[in-house]
Amino acid sequence: MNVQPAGHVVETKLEATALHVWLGERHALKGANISVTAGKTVSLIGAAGSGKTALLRAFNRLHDLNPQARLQGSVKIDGAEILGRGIDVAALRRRVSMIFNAPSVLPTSLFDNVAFGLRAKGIRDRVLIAEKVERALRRVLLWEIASPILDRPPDRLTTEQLQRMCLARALALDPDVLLLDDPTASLDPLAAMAFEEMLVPLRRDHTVLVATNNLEQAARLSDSTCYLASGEIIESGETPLVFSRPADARTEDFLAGRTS
Amino acid sequence: MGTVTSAPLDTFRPRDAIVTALAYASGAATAAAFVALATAVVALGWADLRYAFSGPVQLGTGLTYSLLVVAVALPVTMAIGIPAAACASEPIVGTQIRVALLASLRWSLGLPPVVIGVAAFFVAMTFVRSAGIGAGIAALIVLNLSNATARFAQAYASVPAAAREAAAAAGASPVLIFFSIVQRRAVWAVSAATLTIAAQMIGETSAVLAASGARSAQAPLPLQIWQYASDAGMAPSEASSCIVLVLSVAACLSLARVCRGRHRSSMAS
Repeated sequence: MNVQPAGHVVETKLEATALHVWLGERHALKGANISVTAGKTVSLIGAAGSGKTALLRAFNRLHDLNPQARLQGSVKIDGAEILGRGIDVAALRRRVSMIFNAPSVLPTSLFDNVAFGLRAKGIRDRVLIAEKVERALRRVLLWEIASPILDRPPDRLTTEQLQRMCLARALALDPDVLLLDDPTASLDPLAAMAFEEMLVPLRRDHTVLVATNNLEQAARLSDSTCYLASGEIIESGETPLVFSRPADARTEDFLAGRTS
Repeated sequence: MGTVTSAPLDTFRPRDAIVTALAYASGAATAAAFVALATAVVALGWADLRYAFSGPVQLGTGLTYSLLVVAVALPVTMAIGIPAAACASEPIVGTQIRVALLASLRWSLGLPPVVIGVAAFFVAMTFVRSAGIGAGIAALIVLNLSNATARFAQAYASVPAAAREAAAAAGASPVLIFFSIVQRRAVWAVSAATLTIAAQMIGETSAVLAASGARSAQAPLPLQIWQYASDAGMAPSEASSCIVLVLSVAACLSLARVCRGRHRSSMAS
Protein backbone atom coordinates (compact mmCIF):
# COMPACT_ATOMS: atom_id res chain seq x y z
CA MET A 1 0.00 0.00 0.00
CA ASN A 2 1.32 3.42 -0.78
CA VAL A 3 1.40 6.18 1.78
CA GLN A 4 0.45 9.64 0.59
CA PRO A 5 2.48 12.61 1.85
CA ALA A 6 0.78 14.67 4.56
CA GLY A 7 -1.58 17.25 3.15
CA HIS A 8 -1.68 15.61 -0.25
CA VAL A 9 -5.24 15.37 -1.52
CA VAL A 10 -5.96 12.33 -3.63
CA GLU A 11 -8.74 13.16 -6.04
CA THR A 12 -9.10 9.79 -7.69
CA LYS A 13 -9.81 7.12 -5.12
CA LEU A 14 -10.46 4.12 -7.32
CA GLU A 15 -9.33 3.56 -10.86
CA ALA A 16 -9.64 0.59 -13.19
CA THR A 17 -7.97 0.66 -16.57
CA ALA A 18 -8.53 -1.85 -19.37
CA LEU A 19 -9.79 -4.31 -16.79
CA HIS A 20 -10.81 -7.74 -18.01
CA VAL A 21 -12.29 -10.39 -15.72
CA TRP A 22 -12.82 -14.00 -16.75
CA LEU A 23 -14.89 -16.27 -14.51
CA GLY A 24 -14.03 -19.67 -15.88
CA GLU A 25 -14.91 -19.49 -19.57
CA ARG A 26 -17.13 -16.43 -19.16
CA HIS A 27 -15.64 -13.07 -20.06
CA ALA A 28 -17.45 -11.16 -17.31
CA LEU A 29 -15.77 -7.78 -17.76
CA LYS A 30 -14.34 -6.57 -21.06
CA GLY A 31 -11.78 -3.84 -20.81
CA ALA A 32 -13.53 -1.66 -18.25
CA ASN A 33 -12.23 1.84 -17.61
CA ILE A 34 -13.62 3.66 -14.61
CA SER A 35 -12.42 6.32 -12.24
CA VAL A 36 -14.10 7.16 -8.93
CA THR A 37 -13.44 10.45 -7.19
CA ALA A 38 -12.79 10.37 -3.46
CA GLY A 39 -15.86 11.01 -1.32
CA LYS A 40 -18.31 10.42 -4.15
CA THR A 41 -20.97 7.76 -4.57
CA VAL A 42 -21.09 5.91 -7.86
CA SER A 43 -23.87 3.53 -8.90
CA LEU A 44 -23.28 0.62 -11.23
CA ILE A 45 -26.45 -0.26 -13.08
CA GLY A 46 -27.14 -2.91 -15.68
CA ALA A 47 -28.94 -6.17 -16.23
CA ALA A 48 -28.00 -9.34 -14.36
CA GLY A 49 -24.71 -10.68 -15.69
CA SER A 50 -23.64 -7.29 -17.03
CA GLY A 51 -20.43 -7.29 -14.96
CA LYS A 52 -21.39 -5.05 -12.01
CA THR A 53 -20.35 -7.53 -9.35
CA ALA A 54 -17.24 -8.58 -11.31
CA LEU A 55 -16.14 -4.93 -11.33
CA LEU A 56 -16.88 -4.42 -7.62
CA ARG A 57 -14.95 -7.50 -6.61
CA ALA A 58 -11.90 -6.37 -8.51
CA PHE A 59 -11.51 -3.39 -6.17
CA ASN A 60 -10.96 -5.51 -3.06
CA ARG A 61 -9.53 -8.55 -4.85
CA LEU A 62 -12.36 -10.79 -3.79
CA HIS A 63 -11.89 -12.62 -7.08
CA ASP A 64 -8.86 -14.21 -5.38
CA LEU A 65 -11.28 -16.54 -3.59
CA ASN A 66 -12.46 -17.97 -6.88
CA PRO A 67 -9.86 -20.25 -8.46
CA GLN A 68 -11.73 -19.95 -11.76
CA ALA A 69 -11.34 -16.16 -11.86
CA ARG A 70 -8.64 -14.46 -13.96
CA LEU A 71 -7.98 -10.73 -14.13
CA GLN A 72 -6.04 -8.62 -16.59
CA GLY A 73 -5.51 -4.88 -16.57
CA SER A 74 -4.90 -2.34 -13.87
CA VAL A 75 -6.76 -1.50 -10.66
CA LYS A 76 -5.47 1.34 -8.52
CA ILE A 77 -6.47 2.71 -5.15
CA ASP A 78 -5.07 6.13 -4.28
CA GLY A 79 -2.83 5.71 -7.30
CA ALA A 80 -1.28 2.44 -6.08
CA GLU A 81 -1.66 -0.72 -8.13
CA ILE A 82 -3.45 -3.47 -6.21
CA LEU A 83 -3.34 -6.33 -8.68
CA GLY A 84 -0.32 -8.58 -8.76
CA ARG A 85 1.86 -10.04 -6.07
CA GLY A 86 3.23 -8.44 -2.93
CA ILE A 87 0.00 -6.76 -1.89
CA ASP A 88 -1.32 -7.23 1.66
CA VAL A 89 -4.77 -8.32 0.50
CA ALA A 90 -6.23 -8.52 4.03
CA ALA A 91 -5.16 -4.92 4.70
CA LEU A 92 -6.57 -3.88 1.33
CA ARG A 93 -9.94 -5.41 2.20
CA ARG A 94 -10.01 -3.54 5.49
CA ARG A 95 -9.59 -0.29 3.52
CA VAL A 96 -12.07 -1.35 0.85
CA SER A 97 -14.91 -3.04 2.70
CA MET A 98 -17.77 -4.79 1.03
CA ILE A 99 -21.27 -5.92 1.82
CA PHE A 100 -23.21 -8.36 -0.26
CA ASN A 101 -26.70 -8.76 -1.68
CA ALA A 102 -27.77 -10.94 1.26
CA PRO A 103 -26.64 -10.68 4.88
CA SER A 104 -23.57 -12.81 5.54
CA VAL A 105 -23.83 -13.80 9.17
CA LEU A 106 -20.75 -15.33 10.77
CA PRO A 107 -21.29 -18.30 13.14
CA THR A 108 -20.80 -16.31 16.30
CA SER A 109 -22.46 -13.69 18.53
CA LEU A 110 -23.74 -10.35 17.29
CA PHE A 111 -20.86 -8.54 19.03
CA ASP A 112 -18.26 -10.86 17.54
CA ASN A 113 -19.85 -10.50 14.11
CA VAL A 114 -19.23 -6.77 14.22
CA ALA A 115 -15.84 -7.10 15.92
CA PHE A 116 -14.63 -9.80 13.51
CA GLY A 117 -12.67 -7.47 11.24
CA LEU A 118 -11.12 -5.63 14.18
CA ARG A 119 -9.83 -8.88 15.67
CA ALA A 120 -8.64 -10.02 12.23
CA LYS A 121 -6.68 -6.77 12.11
CA GLY A 122 -4.94 -7.80 15.31
CA ILE A 123 -6.68 -5.42 17.73
CA ARG A 124 -6.82 -7.07 21.18
CA ASP A 125 -7.81 -4.10 23.36
CA ARG A 126 -11.30 -5.06 24.56
CA VAL A 127 -12.29 -1.52 25.46
CA LEU A 128 -11.26 -0.21 22.07
CA ILE A 129 -13.09 -3.06 20.31
CA ALA A 130 -16.23 -2.41 22.36
CA GLU A 131 -16.07 1.32 21.54
CA LYS A 132 -15.68 0.67 17.83
CA VAL A 133 -18.47 -1.92 17.81
CA GLU A 134 -20.85 0.48 19.57
CA ARG A 135 -19.94 3.33 17.24
CA ALA A 136 -20.45 1.16 14.16
CA LEU A 137 -23.81 -0.11 15.42
CA ARG A 138 -24.92 3.44 16.20
CA ARG A 139 -23.94 4.58 12.70
CA VAL A 140 -26.22 1.95 11.17
CA LEU A 141 -28.99 2.82 13.68
CA LEU A 142 -28.91 -0.64 15.23
CA TRP A 143 -27.49 0.04 18.68
CA GLU A 144 -30.83 0.30 20.48
CA ILE A 145 -31.97 -3.07 19.16
CA ALA A 146 -28.60 -4.80 19.32
CA SER A 147 -27.26 -3.68 22.69
CA PRO A 148 -29.39 -6.06 24.82
CA ILE A 149 -28.51 -9.09 22.66
CA LEU A 150 -24.87 -8.45 21.85
CA ASP A 151 -23.67 -11.72 23.35
CA ARG A 152 -26.23 -13.84 21.49
CA PRO A 153 -26.25 -15.09 17.91
CA PRO A 154 -28.01 -12.48 15.77
CA ASP A 155 -30.74 -14.88 14.67
CA ARG A 156 -33.48 -12.69 16.20
CA LEU A 157 -32.74 -9.81 13.86
CA THR A 158 -34.74 -9.24 10.70
CA THR A 159 -33.05 -9.51 7.31
CA GLU A 160 -32.77 -5.74 7.10
CA GLN A 161 -31.26 -5.56 10.58
CA LEU A 162 -28.82 -8.33 9.69
CA GLN A 163 -27.79 -6.36 6.62
CA ARG A 164 -27.22 -3.35 8.90
CA MET A 165 -25.12 -5.56 11.17
CA CYS A 166 -23.02 -6.59 8.16
CA LEU A 167 -22.59 -2.93 7.26
CA ALA A 168 -21.56 -2.24 10.87
CA ARG A 169 -18.90 -4.98 10.52
CA ALA A 170 -17.55 -3.12 7.52
CA LEU A 171 -17.79 0.33 9.15
CA ALA A 172 -16.06 -0.82 12.34
CA LEU A 173 -12.86 -0.92 10.30
CA ASP A 174 -13.20 2.75 9.25
CA PRO A 175 -12.75 1.88 5.58
CA ASP A 176 -11.95 4.47 2.91
CA VAL A 177 -14.21 2.77 0.40
CA LEU A 178 -17.51 0.92 0.73
CA LEU A 179 -18.45 -1.55 -1.97
CA LEU A 180 -22.15 -2.37 -1.82
CA ASP A 181 -23.24 -5.27 -4.00
CA ASP A 182 -26.98 -4.76 -4.43
CA PRO A 183 -27.39 -4.42 -0.64
CA THR A 184 -31.20 -4.21 -0.68
CA ALA A 185 -31.78 -7.13 -3.06
CA SER A 186 -32.99 -9.43 -0.29
CA LEU A 187 -35.19 -6.79 1.39
CA ASP A 188 -38.84 -5.90 0.91
CA PRO A 189 -39.54 -2.38 -0.44
CA LEU A 190 -40.10 -0.79 2.98
CA ALA A 191 -37.02 -2.37 4.51
CA ALA A 192 -35.03 -1.44 1.39
CA MET A 193 -36.12 2.18 1.76
CA ALA A 194 -35.16 2.20 5.45
CA PHE A 195 -31.75 0.72 4.62
CA GLU A 196 -31.25 3.24 1.84
CA GLU A 197 -32.08 6.15 4.17
CA MET A 198 -29.54 4.86 6.64
CA LEU A 199 -26.92 4.87 3.85
CA VAL A 200 -27.38 8.56 3.03
CA PRO A 201 -25.31 10.04 5.89
CA LEU A 202 -22.59 7.42 5.39
CA ARG A 203 -21.89 8.79 1.92
CA ARG A 204 -20.27 11.84 3.48
CA ASP A 205 -17.49 9.84 5.11
CA HIS A 206 -16.71 7.24 2.48
CA THR A 207 -16.22 6.72 -1.21
CA VAL A 208 -19.10 4.44 -2.13
CA LEU A 209 -19.48 2.15 -5.13
CA VAL A 210 -22.89 0.55 -5.22
CA ALA A 211 -24.09 -2.05 -7.70
CA THR A 212 -27.85 -2.04 -7.87
CA ASN A 213 -30.75 -3.32 -9.92
CA ASN A 214 -32.95 -0.63 -8.44
CA LEU A 215 -32.78 2.36 -10.80
CA GLU A 216 -34.64 4.68 -8.41
CA GLN A 217 -32.16 3.82 -5.72
CA ALA A 218 -29.26 4.57 -8.08
CA ALA A 219 -30.85 7.92 -8.95
CA ARG A 220 -31.41 8.82 -5.30
CA LEU A 221 -28.12 7.66 -3.86
CA SER A 222 -25.38 8.38 -6.35
CA ASP A 223 -23.44 11.34 -7.64
CA SER A 224 -22.42 9.43 -10.75
CA THR A 225 -23.87 6.45 -12.56
CA CYS A 226 -22.22 3.89 -14.74
CA TYR A 227 -24.24 1.65 -17.05
CA LEU A 228 -22.83 -1.77 -17.93
CA ALA A 229 -24.08 -4.30 -20.45
CA SER A 230 -22.56 -7.66 -21.40
CA GLY A 231 -19.37 -6.90 -19.47
CA GLU A 232 -18.78 -3.50 -21.08
CA ILE A 233 -19.15 -0.04 -19.62
CA ILE A 234 -21.56 1.59 -22.03
CA GLU A 235 -21.90 4.98 -20.44
CA SER A 236 -20.93 6.82 -17.30
CA GLY A 237 -21.50 10.32 -16.06
CA GLU A 238 -23.27 12.45 -13.51
CA THR A 239 -26.42 10.72 -12.34
CA PRO A 240 -28.93 13.43 -13.35
CA LEU A 241 -27.41 13.54 -16.83
CA VAL A 242 -27.32 9.79 -17.34
CA PHE A 243 -30.92 9.44 -16.22
CA SER A 244 -32.34 12.47 -18.04
CA ARG A 245 -30.23 12.67 -21.18
CA PRO A 246 -28.36 9.40 -21.77
CA ALA A 247 -25.80 9.70 -24.51
CA ASP A 248 -26.03 6.11 -25.69
CA ALA A 249 -29.18 4.58 -27.14
CA ARG A 250 -28.51 1.34 -25.21
CA THR A 251 -28.56 3.25 -21.91
CA GLU A 252 -31.79 4.95 -22.92
CA ASP A 253 -33.33 1.59 -23.79
CA PHE A 254 -32.26 0.09 -20.48
CA LEU A 255 -33.60 3.01 -18.45
CA ALA A 256 -36.87 2.84 -20.35
CA GLY A 257 -37.12 -0.89 -19.75
CA ARG A 258 -36.78 -1.72 -23.45
CA THR A 259 -34.68 -4.63 -24.66
CA SER A 260 -32.25 -3.42 -27.28
CA MET B 1 -68.05 -44.66 -32.91
CA GLY B 2 -65.10 -45.55 -35.08
CA THR B 3 -63.18 -42.42 -34.17
CA VAL B 4 -59.79 -43.18 -32.77
CA THR B 5 -58.02 -40.48 -30.81
CA SER B 6 -54.42 -41.55 -30.44
CA ALA B 7 -52.87 -40.28 -27.28
CA PRO B 8 -49.08 -40.38 -27.71
CA LEU B 9 -48.59 -41.22 -24.04
CA ASP B 10 -50.61 -44.42 -24.43
CA THR B 11 -47.90 -45.94 -26.60
CA PHE B 12 -45.53 -45.78 -23.65
CA ARG B 13 -47.76 -47.58 -21.20
CA PRO B 14 -46.74 -51.18 -21.97
CA ARG B 15 -43.08 -50.27 -21.71
CA ASP B 16 -43.68 -48.30 -18.51
CA ALA B 17 -45.51 -51.29 -17.05
CA ILE B 18 -42.61 -53.62 -17.87
CA VAL B 19 -39.99 -51.25 -16.47
CA THR B 20 -42.07 -50.64 -13.34
CA ALA B 21 -42.60 -54.38 -12.82
CA LEU B 22 -38.88 -55.05 -13.26
CA ALA B 23 -38.01 -52.26 -10.84
CA TYR B 24 -40.42 -53.61 -8.23
CA ALA B 25 -39.14 -57.17 -8.73
CA SER B 26 -35.50 -56.08 -8.46
CA GLY B 27 -36.23 -54.01 -5.38
CA ALA B 28 -38.16 -56.81 -3.74
CA ALA B 29 -35.46 -59.38 -4.58
CA THR B 30 -32.71 -57.14 -3.18
CA ALA B 31 -34.67 -56.45 -0.01
CA ALA B 32 -35.51 -60.16 0.35
CA ALA B 33 -31.85 -61.14 -0.14
CA PHE B 34 -30.78 -58.62 2.46
CA VAL B 35 -33.41 -59.77 4.95
CA ALA B 36 -32.53 -63.44 4.28
CA LEU B 37 -28.83 -62.78 4.79
CA ALA B 38 -29.45 -60.80 7.97
CA THR B 39 -31.82 -63.49 9.27
CA ALA B 40 -29.30 -66.26 8.50
CA VAL B 41 -26.45 -64.39 10.18
CA VAL B 42 -28.55 -63.64 13.24
CA ALA B 43 -29.92 -67.21 13.41
CA LEU B 44 -26.45 -68.65 13.05
CA GLY B 45 -24.62 -66.26 15.31
CA TRP B 46 -27.14 -65.28 17.97
CA ALA B 47 -26.63 -68.39 20.08
CA ASP B 48 -22.87 -67.97 19.91
CA LEU B 49 -22.89 -64.29 20.74
CA ARG B 50 -22.59 -64.76 24.47
CA TYR B 51 -20.12 -67.60 24.00
CA ALA B 52 -18.09 -65.51 21.60
CA PHE B 53 -17.59 -62.85 24.24
CA SER B 54 -16.82 -65.22 27.08
CA GLY B 55 -15.32 -68.31 25.45
CA PRO B 56 -12.02 -69.05 23.78
CA VAL B 57 -12.94 -67.01 20.71
CA GLN B 58 -12.50 -63.87 22.81
CA LEU B 59 -14.59 -61.54 20.73
CA GLY B 60 -14.42 -59.07 23.60
CA THR B 61 -10.64 -58.98 23.31
CA GLY B 62 -10.97 -58.53 19.56
CA LEU B 63 -13.32 -55.60 20.11
CA THR B 64 -10.97 -54.04 22.64
CA TYR B 65 -8.11 -54.34 20.15
CA SER B 66 -10.36 -52.96 17.43
CA LEU B 67 -11.11 -49.92 19.52
CA LEU B 68 -7.43 -49.56 20.35
CA VAL B 69 -6.42 -49.77 16.70
CA VAL B 70 -9.14 -47.32 15.65
CA ALA B 71 -8.28 -45.01 18.56
CA VAL B 72 -4.72 -44.75 17.26
CA ALA B 73 -5.43 -44.81 13.52
CA LEU B 74 -8.34 -42.36 13.51
CA PRO B 75 -6.52 -39.33 15.02
CA VAL B 76 -3.53 -39.93 12.75
CA THR B 77 -5.83 -40.16 9.72
CA MET B 78 -7.57 -36.95 10.84
CA ALA B 79 -4.26 -35.18 11.47
CA ILE B 80 -3.21 -35.88 7.88
CA GLY B 81 -6.64 -35.80 6.25
CA ILE B 82 -7.91 -32.48 7.64
CA PRO B 83 -5.03 -30.30 6.37
CA ALA B 84 -5.18 -32.17 3.06
CA ALA B 85 -8.93 -31.53 2.91
CA ALA B 86 -8.33 -27.84 3.67
CA CYS B 87 -5.87 -27.80 0.80
CA ALA B 88 -8.44 -29.40 -1.49
CA SER B 89 -11.48 -27.35 -0.46
CA GLU B 90 -9.96 -23.96 0.35
CA PRO B 91 -8.31 -22.71 -2.83
CA ILE B 92 -6.51 -19.88 -1.08
CA VAL B 93 -4.87 -22.25 1.40
CA GLY B 94 -3.44 -24.66 -1.10
CA THR B 95 -3.65 -23.19 -4.57
CA GLN B 96 -0.33 -24.59 -5.74
CA ILE B 97 -0.91 -28.27 -5.05
CA ARG B 98 -4.70 -28.26 -5.08
CA VAL B 99 -5.04 -29.55 -8.62
CA ALA B 100 -2.58 -32.39 -8.03
CA LEU B 101 -4.28 -33.30 -4.75
CA LEU B 102 -7.77 -33.34 -6.27
CA ALA B 103 -6.53 -35.51 -9.13
CA SER B 104 -4.86 -37.99 -6.78
CA LEU B 105 -8.00 -38.09 -4.62
CA ARG B 106 -10.15 -38.86 -7.63
CA TRP B 107 -7.78 -41.65 -8.68
CA SER B 108 -7.45 -43.18 -5.23
CA LEU B 109 -11.19 -43.10 -4.61
CA GLY B 110 -11.65 -45.10 -7.80
CA LEU B 111 -9.63 -48.00 -6.38
CA PRO B 112 -11.41 -50.60 -4.23
CA PRO B 113 -10.33 -49.80 -0.63
CA VAL B 114 -9.53 -53.45 0.00
CA VAL B 115 -6.85 -53.34 -2.73
CA ILE B 116 -5.16 -50.33 -1.13
CA GLY B 117 -5.58 -51.86 2.31
CA VAL B 118 -4.08 -55.24 1.43
CA ALA B 119 -1.16 -53.57 -0.35
CA ALA B 120 -0.59 -51.26 2.62
CA PHE B 121 -0.86 -54.15 5.03
CA PHE B 122 1.87 -56.15 3.28
CA VAL B 123 4.09 -53.09 2.84
CA ALA B 124 3.66 -52.33 6.56
CA MET B 125 4.40 -55.96 7.42
CA THR B 126 7.63 -55.71 5.46
CA PHE B 127 8.78 -52.78 7.55
CA VAL B 128 7.23 -53.67 10.89
CA ARG B 129 8.24 -57.34 10.30
CA SER B 130 5.12 -58.74 11.89
CA ALA B 131 1.45 -59.07 11.12
CA GLY B 132 0.81 -57.37 14.45
CA ILE B 133 -0.96 -54.31 15.58
CA GLY B 134 1.55 -51.85 14.06
CA ALA B 135 0.96 -53.21 10.57
CA GLY B 136 -2.78 -53.16 11.20
CA ILE B 137 -2.71 -49.50 12.23
CA ALA B 138 -0.53 -48.53 9.28
CA ALA B 139 -2.82 -50.37 6.88
CA LEU B 140 -5.86 -48.78 8.45
CA ILE B 141 -4.46 -45.26 8.01
CA VAL B 142 -3.44 -45.79 4.40
CA LEU B 143 -6.68 -47.60 3.62
CA ASN B 144 -8.82 -44.72 4.85
CA LEU B 145 -6.70 -41.65 4.13
CA SER B 146 -8.02 -40.79 0.67
CA ASN B 147 -11.56 -41.54 1.72
CA ALA B 148 -11.18 -39.48 4.90
CA THR B 149 -9.65 -36.56 3.01
CA ALA B 150 -12.47 -36.62 0.50
CA ARG B 151 -15.10 -36.72 3.26
CA PHE B 152 -13.50 -33.85 5.18
CA ALA B 153 -13.16 -31.84 1.96
CA GLN B 154 -16.83 -32.49 1.27
CA ALA B 155 -17.68 -31.26 4.78
CA TYR B 156 -15.73 -28.02 4.27
CA ALA B 157 -17.16 -27.53 0.80
CA SER B 158 -20.66 -27.62 2.30
CA VAL B 159 -19.96 -24.31 4.05
CA PRO B 160 -21.44 -21.62 1.81
CA ALA B 161 -18.98 -19.47 -0.12
CA ALA B 162 -20.82 -16.41 1.24
CA ALA B 163 -19.44 -17.08 4.73
CA ARG B 164 -15.86 -17.18 3.42
CA GLU B 165 -16.44 -14.05 1.34
CA ALA B 166 -17.91 -12.14 4.28
CA ALA B 167 -14.91 -12.98 6.43
CA ALA B 168 -12.47 -12.19 3.62
CA ALA B 169 -14.21 -8.87 2.97
CA ALA B 170 -13.68 -7.99 6.64
CA GLY B 171 -9.95 -8.46 6.17
CA ALA B 172 -9.51 -11.99 7.52
CA SER B 173 -6.52 -14.00 6.38
CA PRO B 174 -7.07 -17.38 4.67
CA VAL B 175 -5.96 -19.22 7.80
CA LEU B 176 -8.32 -17.20 10.01
CA ILE B 177 -11.16 -17.82 7.57
CA PHE B 178 -10.50 -21.55 7.70
CA PHE B 179 -10.24 -21.86 11.47
CA SER B 180 -12.79 -19.27 12.61
CA ILE B 181 -15.43 -19.65 9.92
CA VAL B 182 -15.11 -22.86 7.89
CA GLN B 183 -14.15 -25.14 10.78
CA ARG B 184 -16.83 -23.70 13.05
CA ARG B 185 -19.59 -23.94 10.49
CA ALA B 186 -18.52 -27.42 9.40
CA VAL B 187 -18.09 -28.84 12.90
CA TRP B 188 -21.10 -31.17 12.67
CA ALA B 189 -20.24 -32.22 9.13
CA VAL B 190 -16.67 -32.99 10.22
CA SER B 191 -18.02 -34.97 13.19
CA ALA B 192 -20.26 -36.94 10.83
CA ALA B 193 -17.31 -37.57 8.51
CA THR B 194 -15.17 -38.72 11.44
CA LEU B 195 -17.82 -41.17 12.65
CA THR B 196 -18.34 -42.49 9.13
CA ILE B 197 -14.59 -43.02 8.78
CA ALA B 198 -14.54 -44.80 12.15
CA ALA B 199 -17.34 -47.06 10.91
CA GLN B 200 -15.40 -47.76 7.73
CA MET B 201 -12.25 -48.44 9.71
CA ILE B 202 -14.09 -51.05 11.74
CA GLY B 203 -15.94 -52.52 8.77
CA GLU B 204 -13.36 -52.52 6.03
CA THR B 205 -10.37 -53.56 8.07
CA SER B 206 -11.86 -56.98 8.64
CA ALA B 207 -12.22 -57.43 4.90
CA VAL B 208 -8.65 -56.30 4.35
CA LEU B 209 -7.28 -58.65 6.94
CA ALA B 210 -9.42 -61.52 5.68
CA ALA B 211 -8.22 -60.88 2.13
CA SER B 212 -4.62 -60.63 3.28
CA GLY B 213 -4.90 -64.11 4.82
CA ALA B 214 -3.24 -63.01 8.02
CA ARG B 215 -4.67 -65.91 9.99
CA SER B 216 -1.62 -66.58 12.06
CA ALA B 217 -1.52 -63.19 13.65
CA GLN B 218 -0.08 -63.15 17.13
CA ALA B 219 -2.12 -60.21 18.29
CA PRO B 220 -5.83 -60.13 17.60
CA LEU B 221 -6.79 -57.40 15.15
CA PRO B 222 -10.23 -55.97 14.46
CA LEU B 223 -12.84 -58.59 15.19
CA GLN B 224 -10.61 -61.47 14.10
CA ILE B 225 -12.96 -62.66 11.38
CA TRP B 226 -10.06 -63.71 9.17
CA GLN B 227 -8.82 -66.16 11.78
CA TYR B 228 -11.80 -68.43 11.20
CA ALA B 229 -12.35 -67.84 7.51
CA SER B 230 -11.24 -71.34 6.46
CA ASP B 231 -13.05 -73.27 9.18
CA ALA B 232 -16.66 -74.04 8.27
CA GLY B 233 -17.32 -75.28 11.77
CA MET B 234 -16.66 -71.83 13.09
CA ALA B 235 -19.50 -70.33 11.05
CA PRO B 236 -21.62 -69.52 14.14
CA SER B 237 -18.70 -67.66 15.68
CA GLU B 238 -18.13 -65.81 12.45
CA ALA B 239 -21.79 -64.92 12.32
CA SER B 240 -21.68 -63.65 15.89
CA SER B 241 -18.61 -61.57 15.00
CA CYS B 242 -20.50 -60.26 12.02
CA ILE B 243 -23.42 -59.22 14.23
CA VAL B 244 -21.09 -57.30 16.52
CA LEU B 245 -19.32 -55.79 13.52
CA VAL B 246 -22.56 -54.68 11.90
CA LEU B 247 -23.88 -53.28 15.17
CA SER B 248 -20.62 -51.34 15.74
CA VAL B 249 -20.72 -49.91 12.23
CA ALA B 250 -24.44 -49.15 12.52
CA ALA B 251 -23.85 -47.31 15.81
CA CYS B 252 -21.16 -45.14 14.20
CA LEU B 253 -23.27 -44.46 11.12
CA SER B 254 -26.33 -43.60 13.23
CA LEU B 255 -24.31 -41.05 15.19
CA ALA B 256 -22.92 -39.73 11.90
CA ARG B 257 -26.46 -39.35 10.64
CA VAL B 258 -27.40 -37.33 13.72
CA CYS B 259 -24.35 -35.10 13.17
CA ARG B 260 -25.27 -34.60 9.51
CA GLY B 261 -28.78 -33.58 10.60
CA ARG B 262 -27.32 -31.03 13.01
CA HIS B 263 -25.06 -29.73 10.24
CA ARG B 264 -28.00 -29.34 7.85
CA SER B 265 -30.01 -27.41 10.45
CA SER B 266 -27.04 -25.18 11.27
CA MET B 267 -26.56 -24.44 7.56
CA ALA B 268 -30.25 -23.66 7.15
CA SER B 269 -30.37 -21.22 10.06
